[in-house]
Amino acid sequence: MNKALAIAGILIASLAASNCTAKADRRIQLRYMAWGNVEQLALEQELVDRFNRRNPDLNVRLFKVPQSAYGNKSIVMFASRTSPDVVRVDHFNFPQLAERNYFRDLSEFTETDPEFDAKEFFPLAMQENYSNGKLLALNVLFGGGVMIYNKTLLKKAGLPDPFELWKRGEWTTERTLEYAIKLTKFDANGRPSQFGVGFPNMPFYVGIMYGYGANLLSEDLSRSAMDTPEASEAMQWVADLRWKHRVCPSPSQGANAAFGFETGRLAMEFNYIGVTSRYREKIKDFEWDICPMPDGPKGKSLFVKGNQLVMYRETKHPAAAWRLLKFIVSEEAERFLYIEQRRQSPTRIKLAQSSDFLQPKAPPFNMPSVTASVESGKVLPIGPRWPEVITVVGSEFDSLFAGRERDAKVVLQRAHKAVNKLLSEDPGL
Amino acid sequence: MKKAPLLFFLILLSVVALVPFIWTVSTALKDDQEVFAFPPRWIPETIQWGNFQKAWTALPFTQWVINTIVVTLACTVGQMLTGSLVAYGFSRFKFKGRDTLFGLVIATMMLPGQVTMIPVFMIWRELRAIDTYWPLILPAFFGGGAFNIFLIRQFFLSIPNELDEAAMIDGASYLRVWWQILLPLSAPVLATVGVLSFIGHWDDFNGPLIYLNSPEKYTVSIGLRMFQDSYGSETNLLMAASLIHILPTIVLFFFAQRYFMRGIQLSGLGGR
Amino acid sequence: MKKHQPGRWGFIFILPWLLGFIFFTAGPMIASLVLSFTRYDLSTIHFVGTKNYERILFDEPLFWKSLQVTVTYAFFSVPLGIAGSLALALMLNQKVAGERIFRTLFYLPSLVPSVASALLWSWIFNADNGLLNYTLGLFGWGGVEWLADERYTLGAFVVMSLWGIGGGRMIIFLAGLQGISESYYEAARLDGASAWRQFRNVTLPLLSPVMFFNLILGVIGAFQVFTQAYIMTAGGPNNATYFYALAIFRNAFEYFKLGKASALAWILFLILMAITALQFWASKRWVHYEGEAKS
Repeated sequence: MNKALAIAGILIASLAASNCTAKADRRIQLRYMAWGNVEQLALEQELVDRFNRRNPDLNVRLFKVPQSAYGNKSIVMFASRTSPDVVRVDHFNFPQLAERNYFRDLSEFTETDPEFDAKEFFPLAMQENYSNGKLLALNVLFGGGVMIYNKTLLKKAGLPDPFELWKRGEWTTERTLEYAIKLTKFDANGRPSQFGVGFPNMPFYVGIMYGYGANLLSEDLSRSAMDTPEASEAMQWVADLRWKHRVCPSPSQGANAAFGFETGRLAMEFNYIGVTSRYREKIKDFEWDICPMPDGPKGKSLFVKGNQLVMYRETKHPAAAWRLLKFIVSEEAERFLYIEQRRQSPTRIKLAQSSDFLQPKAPPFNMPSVTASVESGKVLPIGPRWPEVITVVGSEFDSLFAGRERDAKVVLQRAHKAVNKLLSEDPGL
Repeated sequence: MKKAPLLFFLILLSVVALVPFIWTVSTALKDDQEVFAFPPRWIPETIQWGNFQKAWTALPFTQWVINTIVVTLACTVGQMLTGSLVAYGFSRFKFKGRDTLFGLVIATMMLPGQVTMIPVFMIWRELRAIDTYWPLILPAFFGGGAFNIFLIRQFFLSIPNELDEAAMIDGASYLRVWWQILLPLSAPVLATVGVLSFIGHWDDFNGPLIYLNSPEKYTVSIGLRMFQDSYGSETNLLMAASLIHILPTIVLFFFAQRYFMRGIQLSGLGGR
Repeated sequence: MKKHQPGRWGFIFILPWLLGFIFFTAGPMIASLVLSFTRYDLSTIHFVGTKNYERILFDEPLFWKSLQVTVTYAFFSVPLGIAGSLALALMLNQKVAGERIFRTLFYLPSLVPSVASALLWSWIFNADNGLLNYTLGLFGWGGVEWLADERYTLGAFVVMSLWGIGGGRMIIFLAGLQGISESYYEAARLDGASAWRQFRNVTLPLLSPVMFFNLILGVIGAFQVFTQAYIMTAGGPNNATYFYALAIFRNAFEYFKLGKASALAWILFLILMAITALQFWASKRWVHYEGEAKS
């Protein structure tokens, strides 16, 4: 009996030990949650370390959650009252979560803190932070998507630089397709050795839809807008990349590292500028740069979206959490994140227009590609029902992207019906 | 049945059973480019033992393995202790409603977990136990699972009552009879329960998925999922990490094999 | 004669189970039944009557899809699995050399944790570099997008489930086979029965209780497949692997429609009860318990 009790005792003790937080620390403990790949999280950690050094009475711990589970995890944590104090919420989820009263109203700080001036930020960025008239967040990682291209491969194929073409208004979806076809190569066995362009996943295909004059939803987000011929043309262009022209990796080829951009076997890709910090580190044997998304037949494909940094409503240390929030959008932090590390566009107008940002010393050099989105990009159709909408749209588009259905019009009709049905129903059932 | 073709067939089948393992090990030992070489090679050009270290240190596996061991051991001990206690109650005593209640035990084996999943989550939420290990460990101390109770009870039924009575004549309490007479004699079936319990909890994905939020509290199963998220495109590292998850159960099985197989046979599950 | 009330002690010993049953099983089951008549998203709760059920049964193609996926999967994986385990056990029962080694080797796959197994098999099923397509290619069969083509994905899951046929189920069958007294076979042989007849008239009937047990648990298990679908395909492509358990999880922890998820869970429970009852009723026809006359 004694041995069993001893073992049980040790187990319970080790359990208790692993559950306990360090009580010896007299600093205020804050938790900050953000997502990112390994390199991006290292940047967040650097920011956190700087803040901790600057504020010795506080101790901020960075909470890292796997990217795919981030959306859910944050919701579960909000709902089970175990949320970190400061959380970065993807704008995809923000309107929906904001309605549930999980976030603290920040106006009590923004209106009383002399160091904070809302006018220093892009109006569109500030606009995203409001829900039902209340200021519930500050904006971070604000910007749009770009195209990243392998300069060496393009030069070898004798193709003019896309950024130069864009400056002349000649970087279109047609040119992109042309380039992709010329840049896709096969080896002697007929297996692909190089692909011209990566597949434009969400939300890049929404940008393409903008370029064709289409959209997923109506302006007021209450109805689907996918039944237009423009929408079909746009999505057909996207689907044809993979299945008609075969210039894109297939779904499983895209999932593994065989054709990652940094391997040099993908000539162009649609991505966010934030991924370039990894490329700067890993890419040594070819030149690369960025350019904006190509113009469609009816206009620009530029989209813009930010992410919301929120304060959890039931945080025990609101004043301390505000200091962290303020720091993350401070000029110093933005300089580090967006000018030095090029994670996205700055939300501060002055920084976005500074020569430090626009004329960097390391690739990518074509920074106007980023400011183009911020200055003339269109917002994505994200409202409180976005997660449900995109699930429905996503599963319909699945068959288009996987090649089972080759006709975009058919898929869009189905998606159109499904979304309208969804939006007309009672949410929550 | 003729022996030679049978043997050949058995060897073929074991190869098929083992191939996925071998392939995983082979992939885990390749370097980044060789993973995608075509045609695929079984033996890597240069064996990258370092992949294991890379996978291990890329994410806090050490912490995760410790966490999983703590949780799994606690659950296994809980299941063995309370399972055998409950089985003792059902096998050695007569009380009103005993058979109905035991029927209920059997019935719960057929209950899909989803029916209770949500309210149980809400219970733990009210107890502020989300993101702790309590939701994972405590249930194991409440009877340890219907299947285990069933197995152990079957075994107890095969131990003659005379042993109990002899001990009680010597002044032993019921608890002592359980602890000092029945348990030692039940080593095979307890080993079976222990091994099955260890494997089951080592493998548990659903529980940690729902209840654990802080990465430093993760178990290996969720940690592996996080690894897939962050490093999923690096297949060789992913395979190495998967092997880290697989190894302990296989090692345990090799050590406990003899008891384990006997336990299932002795429990009388086959053919009765 | 014992001095204490032995009955009371028995009751005390089973208390851990009983308490657990009340708090973690019976209570939550009733709670989830109640929840299924509400709309609840972890913060606000409204009573909505039978709207969840109406919505699920009459207005939601995804429900029928997930049912179809799960039933199809069960339809193939359970019989194939049981037949496979039985076949393996029969082979191992023939007193071949190295029985122990084979038994161990066949058992190994069932020891692999489900997350690791999912990742491992994702790699094997990889359309370009995976082992399966490579092997098929050696025989001249074309490459198939196992996990991205909705015609094949469920098949891939069934194949994956067969990797574990040498597991606990086979051990139980083996124990059962080894428990059949040789005298039965002798008697049958004296009557001139062939090997097949011996199998059909001696082995099968005597093993039928075990098969029944495995059938019931197998069906219930098949309806609870979750981890592989969650990790390998997230229910896709185009819901081809949208298993019922995944549907419940999604509605509960991704959409936060906990009322609806509870309704889905109860529908699952009723379906499983019906299937199990059906199996019990049918078992009178084919399950023989020892001591009964054989046909």
